Amino acid sequence: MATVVGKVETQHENMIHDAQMDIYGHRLATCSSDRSVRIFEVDKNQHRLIATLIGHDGPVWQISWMHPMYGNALASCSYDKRVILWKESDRGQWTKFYTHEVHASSVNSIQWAPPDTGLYLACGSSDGTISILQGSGDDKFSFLMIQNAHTTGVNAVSWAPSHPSGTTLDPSTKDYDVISKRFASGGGDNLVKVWKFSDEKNVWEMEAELKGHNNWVRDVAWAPDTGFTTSTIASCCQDGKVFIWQCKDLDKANWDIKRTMHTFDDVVWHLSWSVMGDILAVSGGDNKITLWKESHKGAWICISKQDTNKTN
Amino acid sequence: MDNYSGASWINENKLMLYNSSPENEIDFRVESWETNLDSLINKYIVFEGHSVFSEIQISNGNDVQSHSHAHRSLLRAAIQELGPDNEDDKKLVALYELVWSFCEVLFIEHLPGGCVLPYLMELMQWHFPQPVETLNDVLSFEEPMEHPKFWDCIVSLLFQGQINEALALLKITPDGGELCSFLEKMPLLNNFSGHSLSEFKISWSMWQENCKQNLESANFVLDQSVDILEILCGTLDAFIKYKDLAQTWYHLMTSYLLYTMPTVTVVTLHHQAKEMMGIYKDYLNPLDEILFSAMEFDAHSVLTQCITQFKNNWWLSAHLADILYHAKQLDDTELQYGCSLREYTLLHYASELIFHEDFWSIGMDYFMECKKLGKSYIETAVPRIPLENQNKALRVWSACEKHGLVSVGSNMCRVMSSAANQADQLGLALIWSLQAKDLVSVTKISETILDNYIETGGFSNLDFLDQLGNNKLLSNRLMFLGKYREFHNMIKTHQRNKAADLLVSLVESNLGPPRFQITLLLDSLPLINDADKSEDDNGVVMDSRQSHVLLKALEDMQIKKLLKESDMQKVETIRLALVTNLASSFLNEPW
Repeated sequence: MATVVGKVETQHENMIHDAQMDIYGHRLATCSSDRSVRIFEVDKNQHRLIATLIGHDGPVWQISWMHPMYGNALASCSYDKRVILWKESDRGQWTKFYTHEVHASSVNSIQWAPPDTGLYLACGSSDGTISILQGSGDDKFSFLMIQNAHTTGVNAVSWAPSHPSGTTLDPSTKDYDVISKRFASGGGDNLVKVWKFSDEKNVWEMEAELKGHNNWVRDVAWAPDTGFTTSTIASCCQDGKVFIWQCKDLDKANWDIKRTMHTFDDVVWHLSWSVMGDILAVSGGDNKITLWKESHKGAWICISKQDTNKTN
Repeated sequence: MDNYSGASWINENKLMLYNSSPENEIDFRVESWETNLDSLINKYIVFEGHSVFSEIQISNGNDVQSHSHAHRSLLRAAIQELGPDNEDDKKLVALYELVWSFCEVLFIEHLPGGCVLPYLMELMQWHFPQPVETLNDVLSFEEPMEHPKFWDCIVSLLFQGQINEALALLKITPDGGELCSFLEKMPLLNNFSGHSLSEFKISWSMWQENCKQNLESANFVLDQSVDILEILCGTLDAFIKYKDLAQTWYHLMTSYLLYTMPTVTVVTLHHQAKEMMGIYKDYLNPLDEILFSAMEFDAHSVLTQCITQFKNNWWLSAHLADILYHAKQLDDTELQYGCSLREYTLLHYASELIFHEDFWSIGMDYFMECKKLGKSYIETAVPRIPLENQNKALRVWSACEKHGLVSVGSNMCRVMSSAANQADQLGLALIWSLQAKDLVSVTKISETILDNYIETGGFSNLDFLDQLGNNKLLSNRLMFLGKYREFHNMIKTHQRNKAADLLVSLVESNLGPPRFQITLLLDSLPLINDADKSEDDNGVVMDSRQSHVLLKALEDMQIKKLLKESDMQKVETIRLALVTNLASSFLNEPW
């Protein structure tokens, strides 16, 4: 049964908005309304604060770890309209190495692309735009903008897996080199949108518009690719609905399968797929986390119900 | 999971929960689907199970029976040989063994004459060892009959077909003589060799007919003696009366069949099962349903129930699905989920293993047996295996090589290179970048090493460069670095002429970074100035052509404005030396 195996006292002086583990589960980053980002080293159930990153002038909404292939670094985004990239220079020494200041309003959501896609960071802002930072090594970055991505503000961005579903990384197949540069976004216009990079035009173009939500889309989460023939995006809404969208052929962008996973009584804030994409964690406005799993028969089942009483 | 505002995954089995409340604490929770693989008993079955599993894959469906036995024996060994480190784990493994045994006898075993009872009886004796334990206790009494469980002991021994042991106790009862005479004559399937099954059936029916006739006329001193004879006659009421001694419907069924249908075959077993389950209907649990599904030969249902019942540990579901598949008892129809049931269970079991520090490589093996989705799962999971040290990284890398995971392996090398680079271990970073065949990075690191040389005038830990072989050809910069090191080695070993030739060819080739040219030219100074110490007869190591090349390179640098103000002094020194050398070489060279 579920057990609490550790606690981290974050020492944040205000609300915590995000907490992310690095890919190996060794380091934890947290961010808060107290304008700081904190990094902890986690070993088994022990933890140790190794850095407090001060630099933002407003609440820090989200953090995203860069893939270690590109170095030990993370990005943070804030109400102060900025995205800051931090890196570990010598052991334990964390410094700001890039500030991305192009948005006219709060930056609500950031995420690094999967490593094979490239060194990209998508940033969604309340100003309705999405900027995509691209690193060229040597700590140099350029960026592209998507104007009017969601007219009343972007709430969430989530990258697609590097390799389109249905293909595997077998170098002997011709699909091996096909890298999908795509991400999904959700916003205040009640829409979920899929964006694709056009190599020819060097712009990010809208590839699909997923209509169905009747209120603000709070979060989108593109499921990891575990070899299925369909691509999957989960989205959640102010009105408590969680949708699962599926597409059998990404290049045709026919996201024609929409299923309501569940309708909650309260707003749903966040969605998070497990590493293998088998379980979806849903965070609701009622301060409850529920876990959902697709059974081998294809039905969505809440697998955390029995724990509800025990974890109080 | 109340009172949490957010959740973030650590790996497939671990979810971190946090809240925005003023306490500002973050809880790490291990969710219910994570197995405690650390107990000794679990480690044992994981390792042993893996070796049997691998053999099954190699033999590709041959000899399924002995492989099934191997799995079952390892479960029994785990229960018996490992100390009481965790009773709960032991109980769980005992359940695995029970489910496995039933599936083995029903789906896999080749039974002589189709008779299932001897097999079931052995299973009951193994799982319910109390009768023999009680027997020893009873016999330790001075007056065994006064033992409170004396009669229970006899009945439970009879229930398990332990005839000789039952006889030993019956002998000392007032009605012992008569009862023993019946029991001694009971034909047993185990001992009935050399005769046909039909001969056994006839002989057994005659024996029971005789018991039944005597039941009416018997004049026993004790009531219990009647019960005993009723059991021998196969009277259902007598069995129901002692159902608590059997504990479970499947034990009672086995006992009842011994005295009613000793030659029962697997095909008809489920009729009996239904009847016996009715007797225990208030005590049934999901395990009973699993066993019943097995008796109905519904492999699919057995597995889906195992998945639900043992959701914290996929060992049983995965291995059972695998063996049933190889025994051709489970088809590979694709589930709504996107793969076959066998693959579904293997994927989940492998996901459980891959994030464990001792089992990640075993997890990879299981993934690789999943033809449809395994590779994608592995691509997702392996990059998350922590690379704590070089040794672990090498092991993960060679596992990637073994399984042909080119992209994952190469990304892993890049991670290692990036980490080494950050720790200023440039040589190591270069090795990992080479392993990843990451040319951009190889070039970048090579240049950093050269820049460091400009600053410090030395190389550290670059011995590996001498063993690079053809790898040097991957990048111009690396080739340059290698050659430049070769140059230094020549200087060290006083091969000055060779060194001079190499130096000039390096200047000519433009393999190195432009900013490094001046360093190369400076390196010519000791060759020129110390020329008289040379082994060369005429005291000149560079001929006029070579001096020309270097002088031209120097001029080019000036024209292209590649020189800094601070270099000017050096330039003059080099020019003077080169011109002097040119003059000397003219003198020595034939016209």
